[in-house]
Amino acid sequence: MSVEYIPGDTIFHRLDPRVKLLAFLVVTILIVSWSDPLFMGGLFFSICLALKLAGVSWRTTFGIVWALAPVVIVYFVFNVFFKPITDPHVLLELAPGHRAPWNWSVSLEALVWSLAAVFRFCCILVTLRGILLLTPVREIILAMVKLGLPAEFGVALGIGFGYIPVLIDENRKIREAQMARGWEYEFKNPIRRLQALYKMLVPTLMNSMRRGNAIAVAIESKGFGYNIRRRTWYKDLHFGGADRAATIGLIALAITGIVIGGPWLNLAGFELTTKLLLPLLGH
Amino acid sequence: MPQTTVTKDPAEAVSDPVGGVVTLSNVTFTYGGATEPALADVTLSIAEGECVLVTGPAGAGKTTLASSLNGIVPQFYRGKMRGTVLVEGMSTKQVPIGQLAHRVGLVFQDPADQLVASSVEDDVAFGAENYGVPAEEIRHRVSEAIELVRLSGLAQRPPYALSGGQQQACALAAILAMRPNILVLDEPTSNLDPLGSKHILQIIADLVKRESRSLIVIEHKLEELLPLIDRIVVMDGGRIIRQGTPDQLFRGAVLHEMDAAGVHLPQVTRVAIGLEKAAGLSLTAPSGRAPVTVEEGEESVRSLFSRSGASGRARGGEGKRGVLAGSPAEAAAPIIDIRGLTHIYSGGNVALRDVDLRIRRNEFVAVIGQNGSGKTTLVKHFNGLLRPTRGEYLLDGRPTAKQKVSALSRRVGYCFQNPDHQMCNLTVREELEFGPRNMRVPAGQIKQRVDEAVESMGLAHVMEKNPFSLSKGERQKVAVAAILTMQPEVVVVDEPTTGQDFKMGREMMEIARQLHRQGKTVIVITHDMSIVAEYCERAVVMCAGQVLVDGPVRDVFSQPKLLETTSLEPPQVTRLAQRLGDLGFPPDVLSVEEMVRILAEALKGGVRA
Repeated sequence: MSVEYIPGDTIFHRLDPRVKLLAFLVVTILIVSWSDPLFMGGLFFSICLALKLAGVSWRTTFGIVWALAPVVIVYFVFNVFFKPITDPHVLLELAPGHRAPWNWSVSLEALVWSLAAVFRFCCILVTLRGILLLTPVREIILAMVKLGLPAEFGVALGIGFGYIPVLIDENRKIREAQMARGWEYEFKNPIRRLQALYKMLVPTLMNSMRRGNAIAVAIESKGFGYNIRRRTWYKDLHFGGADRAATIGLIALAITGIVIGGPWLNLAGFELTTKLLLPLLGH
Repeated sequence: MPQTTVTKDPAEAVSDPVGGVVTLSNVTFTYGGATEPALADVTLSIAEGECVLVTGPAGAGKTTLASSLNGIVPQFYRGKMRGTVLVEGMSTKQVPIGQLAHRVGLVFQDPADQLVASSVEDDVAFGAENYGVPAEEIRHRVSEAIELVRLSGLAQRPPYALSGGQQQACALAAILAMRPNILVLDEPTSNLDPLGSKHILQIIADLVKRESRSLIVIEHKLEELLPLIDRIVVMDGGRIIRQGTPDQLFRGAVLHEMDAAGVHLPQVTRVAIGLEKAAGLSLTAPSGRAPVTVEEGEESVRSLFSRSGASGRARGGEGKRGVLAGSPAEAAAPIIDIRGLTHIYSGGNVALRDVDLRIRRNEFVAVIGQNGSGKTTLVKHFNGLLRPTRGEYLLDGRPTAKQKVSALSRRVGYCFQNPDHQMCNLTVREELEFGPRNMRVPAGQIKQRVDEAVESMGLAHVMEKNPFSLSKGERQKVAVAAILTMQPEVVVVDEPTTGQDFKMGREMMEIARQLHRQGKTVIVITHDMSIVAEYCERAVVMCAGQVLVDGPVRDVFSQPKLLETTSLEPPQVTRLAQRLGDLGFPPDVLSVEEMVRILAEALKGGVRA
């Protein structure tokens, strides 16, 4: 996942990063409270729409889902066969008579549940991706420091993020240098490709060590070890009216979500979609 | 203006014997594990507001000297230290680095190692934040520093997306925003292309003019810096061998001594030294010292000519212009044949546009141009690391589209700029065997090839060592030897002199020359025009993804106006000869030796007193 920030001046950009972290928490609460694909899909597309309004192209948003498509598919299949269902409406029987530990059949309920699970996974993906795209790394880190992360870790984390593109570039150079000496990376077989990667180990380790040392010297020379407790942040966070409003909205959304999905009403369970689909199957 | 105050513990403040802001008294430092000292009995005092240039060959102790000024030596890099370094009265042995760094700002050679944040302004703010400067004040300093280093408009950019010169400017701004009283720049331009170097040297000139802080610059580019500085300190073997004003050092026996020690002197200065040795004539600038800049060189030659007899008219040139046209090489079929090559990177960046290039067997070609002109993109096609978006590449007459990199690299060896990216084994021997093993060369032959490469590169004493433990020069040699064991017909060398000491750069080029004599086709990417002039036969000048000029080096450097369009300059000695055209100097003088010969010849009649 890349960490490039998309500059802009939308409300999503301007929100305090702590509100954005809260938004992530609320999304997590919602997807845990709900298990119906209609609700979950609605949430997913709402997040995507919000990102679009913030200036993130559909291509960028769905790019992360597409990049992780193999994981998404495996996750879907896994859920279809492992979600325990009582009284399933079986659509396809694979091995009649078999029961636990896993489903030897494909049922409507399992499909609906798995679809919701995939949306759940994608909600997390696009929310995280969105926050990283719309918030400078330093703001995220500063928010974490304000929320109690020690400043040393915050600064170290920031440096780490800053170096990701440098390391990617370095790895490319190492790979090219090895290819130029006849080492093959151009295998179609993914296992052979993985095996070929072990040659990266020595140069990557050695270069990381060298670079780590150089960075240590550079930050010491910029007073990192001076007095971390007295460190200032030149762009401090400002929790304004919009942030307060967004916080109240998010908390309200979380409470509503819990109420709808909770055991008292249980309106957002996967049974909802199942009930809607059953007539189509002639039940 | 609010300033953070550094609390100086009175107990730590040692009285300063000489009265400089920086004082080194008999400093000897030996790194842990080393046998020879990196600094040997160094005594030096730098006054408030003074601008000092430190120069000398690789291994002279320059970087150790710089690192000792903010306590990195001996507090981070440990070792045995004798003598004292006092910075504004604080001993660098006792006062923590964080406190010293507030007074002494250090900028290092490699910009990529110094950038710590995700945007230029965050990076510039980093140091001031560490010192607890109030936010409002930091914002003021950041915008001021960014403007001073000419990066206005780039404040939001991630540093890795900048050019090398801009990155170094950013690193410098980050130090300036800390407002140190003493600024130390450790070879700030040696990893940069000519445009980037120019950018940094301009900033240094601005700093000297407008600031009153002390400035210590370690540099080899004396031509640009000499007019700006108060004093030169020449180091060799860990010692200060000479120090004084430019007027004191750039004359007579002292100058010869510096030259003999391997100090990288400007070509014009070396012409003066050469002429004195060859003909006993001295070229002097109006101040009486040897010339350093082209302008001084021109003036001194004209003055010498006006004092000389009527015979004083230069004749010469090597008479080898257009050496490629009609030579036997012309008739030979090209080994590298690029036709209509366009390369577009996945982001849409058009790096090469419809390039045609033919390189024949046993040519010695330089590919030159600014960073981003497409040099590296072009040569990466030669061994298949990149493939044409449009167009065709034939290797020895055969299409390459279906050949793997591993197949192409048997014939086209590629030496990368940074040897550390190439090493992937734990001993030098395995490193040298890596290529031929991948090519499935029989074991007996591998041994023979390794022995040959070791012999020609003089690496026998390091064969069982870890390549990463060697010195930079040795690592570079191992990287080249590792390509030689693959016995390619074409050898591409990517920036053999960038980030290298002058002497080491020359050594690399001597190796390239040897390979060329053995019949190999050698292609060098370089920013060093004097190297192109001295070693290569043909220069391909790239500009904005296209070939701007392609021809014999003499012809290419005879067109300074054309080169200027891509901000390249012929070597200093060539520019000097071009300015002296009216005296009969040919416009294509390529080396110091050639210039000395022409001068000595023209002045043979004697010089009137």
